[in-house]
Amino acid sequence: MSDNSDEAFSACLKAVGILGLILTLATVGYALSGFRFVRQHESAVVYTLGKINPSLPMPGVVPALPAPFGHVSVIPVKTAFSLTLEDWKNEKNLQPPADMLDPVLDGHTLAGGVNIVQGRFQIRYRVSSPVELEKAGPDTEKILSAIVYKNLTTSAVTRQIDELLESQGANWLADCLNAIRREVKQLSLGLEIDSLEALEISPPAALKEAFNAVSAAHLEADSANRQALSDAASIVGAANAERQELLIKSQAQREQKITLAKAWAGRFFLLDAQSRIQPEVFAREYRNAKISEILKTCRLEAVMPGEGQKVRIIWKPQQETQSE
Amino acid sequence: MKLQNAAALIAASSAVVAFSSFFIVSDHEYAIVTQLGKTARHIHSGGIYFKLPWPLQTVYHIDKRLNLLHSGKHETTTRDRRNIIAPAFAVWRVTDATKFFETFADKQEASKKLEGMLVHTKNAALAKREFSELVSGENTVSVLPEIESEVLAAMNTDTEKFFGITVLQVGLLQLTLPESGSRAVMQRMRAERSLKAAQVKAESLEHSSRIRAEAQAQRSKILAAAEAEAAKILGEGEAEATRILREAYEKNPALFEFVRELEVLQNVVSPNTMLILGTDTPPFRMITQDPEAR
Repeated sequence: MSDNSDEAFSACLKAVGILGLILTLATVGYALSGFRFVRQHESAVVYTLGKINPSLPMPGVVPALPAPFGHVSVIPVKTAFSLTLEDWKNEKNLQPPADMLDPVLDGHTLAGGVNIVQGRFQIRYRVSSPVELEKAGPDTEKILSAIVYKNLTTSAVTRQIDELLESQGANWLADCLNAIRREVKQLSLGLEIDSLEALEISPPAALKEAFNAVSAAHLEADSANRQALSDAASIVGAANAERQELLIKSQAQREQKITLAKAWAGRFFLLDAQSRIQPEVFAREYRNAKISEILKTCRLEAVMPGEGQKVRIIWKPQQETQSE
Repeated sequence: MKLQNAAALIAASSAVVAFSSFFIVSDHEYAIVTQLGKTARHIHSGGIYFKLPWPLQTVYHIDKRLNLLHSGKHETTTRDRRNIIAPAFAVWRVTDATKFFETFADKQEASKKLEGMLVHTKNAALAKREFSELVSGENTVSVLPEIESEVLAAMNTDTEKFFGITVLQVGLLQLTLPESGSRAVMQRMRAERSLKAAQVKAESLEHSSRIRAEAQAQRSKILAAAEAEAAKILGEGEAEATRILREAYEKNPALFEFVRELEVLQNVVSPNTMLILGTDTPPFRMITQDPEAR
């Protein structure tokens, strides 16, 4: 009897022991269920009894109370997220493109001067404040998208469509980006906006041909302009060359004149020196020598009296005289 | 044994009651504690709180995070009776949990109410403006922020006072026209583009011609300046030559004239020359007159 009761007692103890072990394991498992592993590129917002811990834990194992007493929200802080916005693109994609747009299905907006523009955009952002993001709630990305569209719309109506299409809306998007950053900060979304890019900005598909014609005209104009500038450059270049030539020529002529004058003066000074020895003889001889030189090419035809006291002389070319 | 079971039951019930008497409020929510259906207290910050067990007191959690609301794409009119479609959004949050709790059963109901208000106030603001004001172009300041501020103020007047909701931001998601309007706009845009293409071509032609004309003018200017410069250089040469000859002349004027006249005569008379001249004119007097006679 005593043996039986001992056996029953030991079996009972064993069962209690197993139950205790299971309970202990379950308790430890439950206690550890709040712990989270946070990687290097992540951060965590830890709730303890509903309150958010103001300090962010370092990467590694983050201790927290198990639910419902606490929980950990793991947020990637170094990841660059991108959000593609496609509400303003042509949904129908009809062939041939329709000559009117469905306000619901064919996404678009109006630009300045009542022009229709379509587009697809991409915004890149990172989480800058995990606590703010946690407090902002699950709609954060949708709110960001709405803020982007709001600013694109507000800015588009003040710009002509050509400005929007130019460089894929670079100025337009730059202005919007500043406003978006400001509003994201105002709403404390806990996000840092890196960039806003246009994946596509275009007029409605049905008008693409008309817009392409303008682009072609611009290209043609650019080409004509370049040609005109090139022509102008050659005209001016030629004029400069001509100028240079003229100046060189005139310089040469100047030098020649001076050289001739100097040479003549030098010869004259020599004659002057000779003439001072016997002036009359020199004059006669010099004259005779010159006249004879002249007569070598021309012949003195006649020296005859003219009207009154005057005498007329007639020179005739040697050749003419010879032919006669 | 029965006593033991009763004790265990009481202990378990006490544990359940004790457990249900504590509740946790997160930092991103409010809590309203009602006592027999009436609001007993409201909790604004996160933490662990005590209440009387159900059914004496009940806790309602109200999210205080941001909510987004879209107005939908409905047609409306501007002051000049132009039909437009301007879907809007609003970002809102609960700021007074008691008022919110007393007015709405849940967030969906609040959203529905706010959507109606957003559509109404936005349409009222748009109806005050001419269509041309909305799409001014010309890089002026847009009136849309003004409209958004008006809508925001109008909504908050009621939502804060009656619903415990603050609308933080309102905006227009796009501005479009109904189908018929878009057809007219597209026709006009096509005509404008044709005109623009022609205009670009004409302007290009004019511009190219102007560039060439300017180049020609510049050429004339350069050449005129060069000619003037060349004339100046020649003039300088002339002046220098004259100065040199004047020096010679001053040394012996009579001989100078004599030599010059003979040289002129020599230069003037060539094999093709036939001259009939009076012999009293210089330099031909040299032929008939002796130097002594002069």
